[in-house]
Amino acid sequence: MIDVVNKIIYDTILGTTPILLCVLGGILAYKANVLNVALEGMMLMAAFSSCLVTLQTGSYLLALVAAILASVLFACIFSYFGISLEGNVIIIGLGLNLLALSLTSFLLKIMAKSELVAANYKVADYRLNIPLLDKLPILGPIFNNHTLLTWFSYVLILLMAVFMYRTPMGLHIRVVGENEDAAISLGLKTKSLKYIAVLMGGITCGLAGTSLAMDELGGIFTPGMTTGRGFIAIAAIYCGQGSPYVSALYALLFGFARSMALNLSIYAGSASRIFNALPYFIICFILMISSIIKNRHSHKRGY
Amino acid sequence: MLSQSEKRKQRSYSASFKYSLANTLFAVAAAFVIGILIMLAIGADPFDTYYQMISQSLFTFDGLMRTLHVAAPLILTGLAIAVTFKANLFNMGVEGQMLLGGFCTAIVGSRFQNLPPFLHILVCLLLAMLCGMLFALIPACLKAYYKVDEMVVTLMLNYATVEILTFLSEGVFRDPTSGYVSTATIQDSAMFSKLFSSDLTSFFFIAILMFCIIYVVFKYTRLGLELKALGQNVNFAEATGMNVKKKIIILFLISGALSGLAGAGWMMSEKFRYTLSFSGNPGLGWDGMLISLLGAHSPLGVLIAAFFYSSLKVGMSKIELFTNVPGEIISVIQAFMILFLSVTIFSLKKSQERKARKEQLSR
Amino acid sequence: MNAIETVKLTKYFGEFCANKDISLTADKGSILSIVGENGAGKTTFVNMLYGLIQPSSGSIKINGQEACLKSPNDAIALGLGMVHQHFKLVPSLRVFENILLADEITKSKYLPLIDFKEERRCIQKLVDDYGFDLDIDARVTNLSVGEKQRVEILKMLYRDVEILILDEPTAVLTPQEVTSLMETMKKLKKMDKTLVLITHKLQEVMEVSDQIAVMRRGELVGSVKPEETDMVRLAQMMVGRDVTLTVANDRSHPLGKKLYQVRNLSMTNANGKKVLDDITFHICEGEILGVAGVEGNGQSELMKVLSGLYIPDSGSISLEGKDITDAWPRDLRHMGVGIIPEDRYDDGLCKSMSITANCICGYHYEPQISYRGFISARKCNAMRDYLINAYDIRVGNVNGTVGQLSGGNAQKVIIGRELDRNPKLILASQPTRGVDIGSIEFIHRQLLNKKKNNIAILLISSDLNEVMSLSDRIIVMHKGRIAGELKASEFDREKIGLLMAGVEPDADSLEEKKIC
Repeated sequence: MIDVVNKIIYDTILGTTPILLCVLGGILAYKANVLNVALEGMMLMAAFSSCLVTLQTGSYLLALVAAILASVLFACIFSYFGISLEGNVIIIGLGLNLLALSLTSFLLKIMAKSELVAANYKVADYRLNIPLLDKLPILGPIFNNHTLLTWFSYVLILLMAVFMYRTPMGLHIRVVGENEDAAISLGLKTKSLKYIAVLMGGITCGLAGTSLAMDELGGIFTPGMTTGRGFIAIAAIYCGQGSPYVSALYALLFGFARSMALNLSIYAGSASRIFNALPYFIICFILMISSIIKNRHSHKRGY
Repeated sequence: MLSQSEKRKQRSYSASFKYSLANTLFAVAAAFVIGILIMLAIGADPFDTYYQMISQSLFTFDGLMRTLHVAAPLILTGLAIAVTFKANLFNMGVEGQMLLGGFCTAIVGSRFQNLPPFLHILVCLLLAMLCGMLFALIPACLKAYYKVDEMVVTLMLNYATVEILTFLSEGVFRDPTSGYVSTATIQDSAMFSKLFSSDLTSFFFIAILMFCIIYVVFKYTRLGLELKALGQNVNFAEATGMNVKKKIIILFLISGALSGLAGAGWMMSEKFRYTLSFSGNPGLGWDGMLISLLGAHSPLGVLIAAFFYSSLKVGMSKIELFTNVPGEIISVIQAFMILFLSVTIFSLKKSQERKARKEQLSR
Repeated sequence: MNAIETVKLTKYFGEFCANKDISLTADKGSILSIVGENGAGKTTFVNMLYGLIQPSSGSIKINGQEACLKSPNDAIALGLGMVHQHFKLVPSLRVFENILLADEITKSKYLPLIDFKEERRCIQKLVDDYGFDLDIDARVTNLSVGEKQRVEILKMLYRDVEILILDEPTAVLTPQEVTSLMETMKKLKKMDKTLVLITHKLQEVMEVSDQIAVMRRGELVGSVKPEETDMVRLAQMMVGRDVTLTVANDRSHPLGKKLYQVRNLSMTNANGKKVLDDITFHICEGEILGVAGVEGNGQSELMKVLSGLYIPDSGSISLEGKDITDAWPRDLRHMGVGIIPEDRYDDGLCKSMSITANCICGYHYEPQISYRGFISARKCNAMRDYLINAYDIRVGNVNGTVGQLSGGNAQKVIIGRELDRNPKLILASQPTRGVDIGSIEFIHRQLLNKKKNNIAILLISSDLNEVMSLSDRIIVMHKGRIAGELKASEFDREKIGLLMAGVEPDADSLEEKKIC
């Protein structure tokens, strides 16, 4: 029994990592008033690139670099269309998600494969075994044997909070989102700030994709493998209203829901599939609750 | 007698359609150019591919009929998206609603026996519409009463729907005689019969009928006026007594019904059984989004865009036989089209600004 | 020396000439006022000075040097500062963060972390130096309008501006706050700063200016010294013809029976702050009830509650003795309530929709417009053409959108739509804001006509002159409460001003002032 609980918590920490990285990247754009709907597509491209590069070179570092480059390229397209050409960011985002999905399927077809498996890569080699931690009874199985990327993603919450609330640039990004006129009247370069917000999101989505393909699944890419994680991240950002701590907490909550479903489905036998659908309903439910709380003082009769 | 500037204003109003058309054509052309580049990159002959594509879908009788046939569900999903997009609601659940409608038809179509064909088809269509509406009711109520973002909710429900339908078709409803995951084939009484010994069925005419209804609703009814107002200024809509909550639910229900109908029709005229690739990749619902964007969310635009996109789809499905280009390229081109359609390259304002800048330079 | 000199400054927006050959100078240490009607081009002119837009031709000299102002940054670097009419503040940030925005103090050059302690110290010193009364740790969202304006001025003073542009600074202040602003301006002038004041309020202009420039339709029509002119002459220059400055209510018409009754209305806003506190009033047939007060004291919320958009926490509203507290906007219109909302392009009109649609929206359920859900285009067009004629709406293209109309004509679309269905009650909020003088006159006449036909009117306005000249009775709002109610015989600027500021005017102090 205790093993199951440990496994669930371990998987929560591991499975939250890509969502968390997406959340932290998306927050900046959300605060700058450019909702980054393309998180999903950026993550998928990153996952594909990291897997492909690992397969070709066997280098984890190169894979990480390639993932970030691919994701940032998508972020560039997103910001050019959304910020410079002033298009509808939701449609651009959905278009980019579709592009990521179709482009990766297309490339797989050309390589005559149905999925990428980096057989030369062993995720166990990259899991950190922290000397004293592995001896501890409960904490050991939960916190030991995570990759550097997982640890980094949780440290990033703190770094992002410092960046947003303590540095001039973070402050400026928030101001651009809250009152763009004020920013313009003081000569802030609003477009550049929005670009920075989106591109920084591109970097973290690159990490998210790597974490998903390399750490969580151990070097496998399948088409559409992100299964809505980018949108789950957006849901977490909405629920946390752009605060890095609260949004991260929601990301953990969603990660926990997934991990529960994953681990409990083992006991469900033939009904295990139905557990896969559960987290999505839970997310909708949490979105509803958080929205009710947010609007509890609203006096609007209509909409 | 109109003054000079007034005349110019009148002209500018009729010009807005011209600019919107120019944007659409630009997006299509740009996406095709990118398609050419990709085909060159993989060493295929792009012009031969495009030629094969057009000739397969338009220049043969069978191809043309197939184009019309494939257009039918696309018209419906395109309209389903347009109805909500026009009101600035993002119902991304069209894909899931359509799958649900199709699955429901597969079950009702195979389990109900000894029904007269007309009745059987009618029951299937109505139940599928009901399924789509039930799905749509969830995001609609969440949006209307609790202001939950409808895009995220519908996307989440899409994923959930796929999981549930996969579970059902792998388990309870699996056809044991089939080698892969699939439900039983529907009864003959639930199939649309083929017309002119081609792929075309009467489902196409149902889609056209729906188009006519939506066209009238958009153009001549109170609901049409209200959904436009809703899309352009919600506060104005509420302040002028349009009861936005109720309208959101009504529009979602219409959208859900159209999507469900699309799924049912596709099931009864083409697939006849629910498999995991029922909707194709990226799916009829996503095609609907492109079509709605291409048609600028107007019913007539959607109709034309559906025929256009259908011809692409039919052509692409055949090119794998004639060239070495994977059919997936169509979805890459589709994604680029959506991307280019999201921005306004040509607009009256921009052309005036450009003119002003030129004048300023000459001064 | 001339602090500012413009030479033949011209700005075209497409075909439209917003500023034509404006040549102006302002001496160092003086106050230059620019007056003109809405749409005369004042704002365009100062936006060019501040680098927000670039002139089509002509040049600007700052301190005798030719200046090329590509962005506000360039203007700030040259010592120009601007206080905008709509404050450019960030509500969620604190006062000192707003003042230091884009100019943050960091711990060191290499460590880009904001040093909040140093920032606070620095701004407290600035506030003390200028003797302003301001809590630097308060969130801007909690400040009053007057305080927000002080933050804006401090923002500029921190940046060591030598030239300060004030765009319509008095539009939203109580008379007492205006006086205090005038004092501040004079103080700054003594410190050898140059001030440019943009306004259409002539009284203030006469009081503080050294030089007055008058603009009309994008052109400079005159530049005079205050001692050489008077208010009537200035008004004539502004409008270009003789003007009756106000259309007044003669108040001789007898009032009818009590029609509209609001009792104990209270509401808290989304942040839990009480924005309406026990509001009670009534309106009789043929009466205009004015609601005065500084903006942001609950008038907007009151209007939203009365027009059925918000649900109050407690209290009731009744029309002809029937309870309508729970009525939707559609029910209200059906019962004969005409609604002229505060924000013209938000609640009142839809900019991107056609004039026709805007003429019928709100009444599109009525049988004369639609039958069984179908709308008759012919009837809509007839309605539009009728309104255009009857309400003198000047449109370039009858099939165009409302966004193409000028502010005054757009407002007339609302006025026509709401007044023409013979309402029993009219709720009007800021009916003439940002509208040209001709349209103001027209709208005032329309309202007074309705009053003569025994219609009850609620008039919410932050323009004290408007409220005082049209109303039969005035209630003054302060912090969501009714601070006082005055009959026509008691109307007095000073007294209303004190009520607006939340001060209970006691009879003695007023008497004293009059004696002085």
